[in-house]
Amino acid sequence: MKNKRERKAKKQEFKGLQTEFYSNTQVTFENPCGVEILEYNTETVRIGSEKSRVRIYGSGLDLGHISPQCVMVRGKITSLEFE
Amino acid sequence: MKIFDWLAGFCNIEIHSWYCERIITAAAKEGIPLWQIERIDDKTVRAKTGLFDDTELLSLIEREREKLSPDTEIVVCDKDGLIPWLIDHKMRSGFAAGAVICIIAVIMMLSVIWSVDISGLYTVSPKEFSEALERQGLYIGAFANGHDFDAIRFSLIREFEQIAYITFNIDGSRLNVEVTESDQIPETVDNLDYRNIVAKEDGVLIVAEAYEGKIMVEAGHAVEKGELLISGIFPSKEISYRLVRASGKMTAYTKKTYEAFTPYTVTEYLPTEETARKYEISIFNITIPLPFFGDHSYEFFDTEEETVYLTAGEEILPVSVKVSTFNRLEATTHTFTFDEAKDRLLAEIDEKMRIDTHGLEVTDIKVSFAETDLGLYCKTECTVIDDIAIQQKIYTEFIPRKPRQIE
Repeated sequence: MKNKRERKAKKQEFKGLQTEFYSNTQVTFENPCGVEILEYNTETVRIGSEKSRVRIYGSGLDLGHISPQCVMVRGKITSLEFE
Repeated sequence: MKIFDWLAGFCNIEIHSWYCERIITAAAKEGIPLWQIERIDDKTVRAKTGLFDDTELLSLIEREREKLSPDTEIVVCDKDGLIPWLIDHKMRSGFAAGAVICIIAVIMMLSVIWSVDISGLYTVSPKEFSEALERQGLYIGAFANGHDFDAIRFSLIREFEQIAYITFNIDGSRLNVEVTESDQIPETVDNLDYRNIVAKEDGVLIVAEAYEGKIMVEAGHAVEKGELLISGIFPSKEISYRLVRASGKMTAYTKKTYEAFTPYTVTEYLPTEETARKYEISIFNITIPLPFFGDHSYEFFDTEEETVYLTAGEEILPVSVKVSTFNRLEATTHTFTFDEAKDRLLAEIDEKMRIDTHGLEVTDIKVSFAETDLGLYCKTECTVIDDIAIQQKIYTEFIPRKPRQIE
């Protein structure tokens, strides 16, 4: 019971971005506390959550889908940088 | 995915602002769906949103106006999808008539039985069963609904003794009838059906035992085909003779011969990669060939047929397309060597023997070949231990006595 509570508390504490790549053509960022688009153009996308920020470089980037907890970036991704 | 987008409907919008990202984030937080977001230029982003979400997006801009640049603007370029398309075409009388006809056609298709599939019939004649179904009101052209299937089932079970259960399934316009037949009643031996035991073929007896009747041979005897082995006419001390149904065990060495011939030059038809397709459309059981879609002029070919039914959800409509695929076969002449022909013959004879001598003990095999100009001939003689007893009916005749003349 105690372990379950601890795990739940730890899960709530995690505020980083869960990142999932599909080759170099699609990347999905998820965070239960919410994600934010800070900057968007065809070559750079900056995404932020409460505790971390990520910058994606590439060409022909577009946002395939966006919801409060998830952002999907598509295009030719060349690199990813944690700020 | 695009078809679902189209069915649900969507708006193509353009966001003109120096802070497009803020609008996108705010929309996401408000739960306004945005997808396929593309940057057009430094100040413009194009996206798609739900069909009725554009007003929410406009009101969001009004609320967030202070945080955004004063020239922020959202332009709804166009609306696409099923609902806008229907709204655009609502004033067209032809379209309305077509839609009504379509709806009526679909209702008609689903409310009438257009095909009946019967499976599971082995002992009952399919024709008789179809006629019985017809009498119960289940035929092509009858309404699919309004049948008391329980009553029909019991009526058919009463009519056909061999049927144990019947399942009826209606998939749209197709009626599937699955018949479960009852187990066969085991054959009973009629002791008044008098019989002799005779030899099925020539052989030398190893075991000769009679369970009923009078034995006429002994183990070690050579018998010919049709020779009486056990007589069903049993001698009786009291009534001179009595008839019985003879039975017994008669195991003998018998000879089996297998012959095969193969020519040295054989024409084989091998499949090529060349294929052609032929389409047939079937509407309400009327088949219309579509020759302009594809045909073939192959001399030798294999055919594969596939029928695709038009469905509305899980319901099958009486519209189907039959696709016949023709694979062209190429005739090639192959000449065998002596060894190849020999192997081919032996394989052919082995296959024949495997089926014919299944469960029998083979004691001796003799193979001989004869070569001709045309090909190779093979003869295999083998000795097997087999039961050669076969029953033969004894025909009795009742001869009425002539009445004595009284002088």
